Amino acid sequence: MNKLIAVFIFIVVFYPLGNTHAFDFFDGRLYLRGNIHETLNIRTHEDFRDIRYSSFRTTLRLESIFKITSRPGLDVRIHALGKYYYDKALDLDSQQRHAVREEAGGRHKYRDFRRPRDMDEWLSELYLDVKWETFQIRAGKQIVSWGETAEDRVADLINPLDTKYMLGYPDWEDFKLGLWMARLFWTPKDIWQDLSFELIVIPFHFLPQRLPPGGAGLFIGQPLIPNAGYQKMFDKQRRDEPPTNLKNFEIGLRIRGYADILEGIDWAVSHFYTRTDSGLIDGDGGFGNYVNMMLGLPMKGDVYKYPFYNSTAFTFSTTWSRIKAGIRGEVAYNSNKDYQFGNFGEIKECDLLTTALTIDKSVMVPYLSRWNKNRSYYFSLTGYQYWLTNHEYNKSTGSYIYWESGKRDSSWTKFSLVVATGFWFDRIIVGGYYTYDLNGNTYVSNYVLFQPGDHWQYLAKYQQVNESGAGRYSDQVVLSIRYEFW
Amino acid sequence: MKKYKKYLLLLVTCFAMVMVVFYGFNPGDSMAGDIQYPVVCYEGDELSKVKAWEKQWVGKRIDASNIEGVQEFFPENYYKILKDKEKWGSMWFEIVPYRQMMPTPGDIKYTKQFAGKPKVGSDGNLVDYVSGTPFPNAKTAMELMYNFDNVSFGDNTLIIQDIALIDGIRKYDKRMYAPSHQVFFSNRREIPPVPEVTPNKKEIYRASHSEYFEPAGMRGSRWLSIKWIDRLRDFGGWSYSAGVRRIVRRSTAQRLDAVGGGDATGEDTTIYGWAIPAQDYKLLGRKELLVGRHQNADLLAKGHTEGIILYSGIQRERINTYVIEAIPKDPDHIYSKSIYYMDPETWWLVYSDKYDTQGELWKVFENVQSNIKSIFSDVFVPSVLFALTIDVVRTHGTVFFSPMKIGETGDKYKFGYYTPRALQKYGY
Repeated sequence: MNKLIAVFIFIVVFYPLGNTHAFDFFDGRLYLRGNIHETLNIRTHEDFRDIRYSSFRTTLRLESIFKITSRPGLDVRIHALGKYYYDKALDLDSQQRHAVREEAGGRHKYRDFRRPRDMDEWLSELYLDVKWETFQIRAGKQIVSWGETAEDRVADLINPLDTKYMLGYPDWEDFKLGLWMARLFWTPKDIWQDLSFELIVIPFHFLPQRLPPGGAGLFIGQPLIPNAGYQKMFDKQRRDEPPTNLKNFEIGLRIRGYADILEGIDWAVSHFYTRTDSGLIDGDGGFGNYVNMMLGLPMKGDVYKYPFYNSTAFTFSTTWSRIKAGIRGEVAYNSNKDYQFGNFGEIKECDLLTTALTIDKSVMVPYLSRWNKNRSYYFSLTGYQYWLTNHEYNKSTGSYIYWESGKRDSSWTKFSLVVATGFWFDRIIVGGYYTYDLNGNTYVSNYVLFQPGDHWQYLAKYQQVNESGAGRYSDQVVLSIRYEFW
Repeated sequence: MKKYKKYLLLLVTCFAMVMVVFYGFNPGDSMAGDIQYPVVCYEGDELSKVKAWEKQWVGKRIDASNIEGVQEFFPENYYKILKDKEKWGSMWFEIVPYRQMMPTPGDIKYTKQFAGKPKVGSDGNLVDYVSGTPFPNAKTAMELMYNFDNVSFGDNTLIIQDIALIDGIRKYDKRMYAPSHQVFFSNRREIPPVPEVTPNKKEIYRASHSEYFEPAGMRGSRWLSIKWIDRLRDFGGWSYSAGVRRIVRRSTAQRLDAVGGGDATGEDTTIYGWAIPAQDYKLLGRKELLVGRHQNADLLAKGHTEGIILYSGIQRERINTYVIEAIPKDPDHIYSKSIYYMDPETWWLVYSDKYDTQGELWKVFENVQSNIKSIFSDVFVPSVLFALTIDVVRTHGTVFFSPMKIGETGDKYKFGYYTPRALQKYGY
């Protein structure tokens, strides 16, 4: 209750700031901006847990930039980005509280549901940015985006995900966990194809994908593993994550260029040596420990491991004036990646080839556009194709390789479509995000965003997930109010 | 006597040949002497007539109550807006004396140096152009439009774009703030390297790098726009989104969308900000109009009331504009026709009417000019200080109030700032 009062006071203090602009200090050298975001997730169909409100979250995001020096040829700044949330759904929905208590192993897990666990989760970025002539160094905790597609990660594999933010899919930047790293950029002058080079070094910091506590919003349907089994797995995955040392060394190189052919092509090639973000049961020994873990017996060693693999990617973007569209694509080849085979801890090494091609186009829709005073509709269509090499399926045991598709097939085809337009001078934005998975699942999300002025945004979104087994239980309405202060 | 005439003729011929050898015959020099530049709007009897008229009107504050006296000096559609106080709100402007707007010394120098060389090709492209005003004594609508297309607002310019999106019905403003650094790679006139950057392998004509500070949803986003020397080539566009931290290549078809929910599309920048060959032009004649030219920026800045689209405090002087009709070649274009009014001394478009695909009036535009002093060379550069777009159908307006800093140097005027990489380098 005290926490609710604290949040309420915080909201009362910040919300009436009205036309507050950036908080500038030290003659503009330090500025602070941010937003407060209130979201409420309402399930349209209650599963056996009878949860109606799976999340009622207040999130505060703050960003600051401090300019240490800025003169010709040298610019040095510090950038910080943090987000902290408090989720009040446990106070609002007793069934949600019950689900977490039962499936996460007790009331002590309420804290995991309500707020970020540690600084890894609430501090997204804190880095020193030095620009010196043709060089640039960014050293510190950072979120990096490689690749061209925002809806699904093909070449964009640097940062792990915090799936507790999976409330308003897909806003990737909220999902990503920052990593302590150094990035070195070199942009030579007058070089062929305007080449630029980016080297990423993550010397010691490793974070696996973060998962919500058992029973929380992502969980739909009957728990497959009773007695807080999922929570044991999640907790063990965290405990088994490699310690922070140089054995976690990850390195990546990206070369970008601009080919002045056709209508000009921006391209990039990259290579990243990294670990998997999700734990794999470590062979026979790991499986044995896994069984003991579930039975409550002592374990000898780890259950999970996080093996390394290589990811090589090529991305491009260009325009095609004839059809008045933008075109972008990427190809990523993940080699020597370990996957779980079956349920008994066996590991198989496979290669994964992923391709994605996107067409972006603004279209005048007959009648609708004219009625809306020639406002176009934005479409972005992406086709994804995945191929897993060395795929295996054991008919007698039913074991197969658990890979990104979640299915037994060795290939996976998916399409996604983003649509958006604006009304009333873009005070109202209407849009949708749709995926069609040829291997089975579809996803539909429609939203209406109202932004009457410079600060406030009001969003209503309906999400429908047609996933086998989940039925309608994943469907939800998301309401959100956001206030930007800067 | 006949013998002396023969010797005289021989002597004159030799003298002429000597003159040719020693001083050369440069068609350009001869053309430079032939062209009249700078162009002056009024002189002689015409100037006297204007001065006589000014005796009656200069210094007068004009508003909706007395604007009928100068009705003939406004485009008809714009006059109706100024007159309709009920719908569009109150405004006043002042009539000031006509003064010639002088081009910069660099403009004069390179216009004369390259006079006669630029041409409009059979495909409508501008060829053999380097710097200066390509057609100082323009005869056709196309030549006039290329003069406009090659107006320089300073070789290195920071355009402080303070943008108001004004709802004239609900009487409130939304704001955008997006300062833009801009550099000319070709058509440079004052700041070295002049007259153009060499080498310029990518054949860039002009590039701009904008950073959005307001509204909140766009803060941290950056845009890069590149115009090429080949005027038939689509502009290059890239954007950086702070939210997804990614550089996205933009299709130029998106230029027909209004920016940020405003009234001006990307193509409406400076009234017409797209490829000149993309339209067919016809010179309709001349029309004397009252135009903002030597505008005092402070006066105009104080002249806005929230929710009122029209600004008070514009200082207008009488000039004899060119009237040009423009029809887009693209059958799917959002405008069926535009009428432009062009300042004959600066080549800026100063008024415009644009019609929708049904032939109905949709938008009217006004650009107000000012002489902005360059920090680099102390010259005055005629520039657009204030650009107004009015959606007459929806009673909505967008104002780009753009004080400029001309002539700065520094990292943001280095050519590396105008690459897609720079969007991410400077973005957070």
